[in-house]
Amino acid sequence: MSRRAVDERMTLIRSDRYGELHVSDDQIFRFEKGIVGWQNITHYALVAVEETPFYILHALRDQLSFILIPAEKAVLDYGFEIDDETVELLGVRKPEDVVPFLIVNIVDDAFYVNLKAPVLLVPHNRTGCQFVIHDRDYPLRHPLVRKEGG
Amino acid sequence: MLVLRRKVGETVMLGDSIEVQVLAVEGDTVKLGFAAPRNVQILRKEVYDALMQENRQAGAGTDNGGKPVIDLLKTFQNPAP
Repeated sequence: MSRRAVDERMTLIRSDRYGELHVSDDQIFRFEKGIVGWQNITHYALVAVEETPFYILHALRDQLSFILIPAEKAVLDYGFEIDDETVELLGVRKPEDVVPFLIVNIVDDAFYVNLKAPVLLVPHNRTGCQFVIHDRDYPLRHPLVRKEGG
Repeated sequence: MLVLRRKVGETVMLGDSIEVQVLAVEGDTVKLGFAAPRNVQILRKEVYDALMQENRQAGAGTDNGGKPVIDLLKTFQNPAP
């Protein structure tokens, strides 16, 4: 926290679900394709949920939000190829630039993650997209199990 | 619905910037090629429908009997004894 410059611009999101969220520029990601179902919503903020492995991906100017979990904290042996168009879209220079997150869906208090279409974020240029995996057959809804020590 | 006949190799324009080309016809399967601006997501309809439904549910936030979502998330990390 203290390493942040004092004059860094903060943006306020008034969220119906999460209250007031103060986000800095480095938390704001541009989704040029939007997210499937909301093509026209292109700017989202990523906010960590304290004391949990989860994040909120909240639209900057809409009430739309998703719960995310870093893929590495949710599943083992998860991998996929990213096509050239997506590499270009996100401005990826090397594989480590891409941080895959999974969208969490809570149904009757049970937690599921979408393995078929992860959210890919590229922190260094603050771009993101929902990427649909075609080269492997991952499920849209997969039970989220707590990883020991994770 | 607009219906057009096209031969293999021919193209249809959707607006100014989306091209759909017929690449091959093999039996009852048509192979199509797409060129579109990079903000256009191109998906098979059945994949799109399933994904949109899952996204809508995840994005709507389920009604957890009035429990705030944040509390539910914390429950996941630190299950009640």
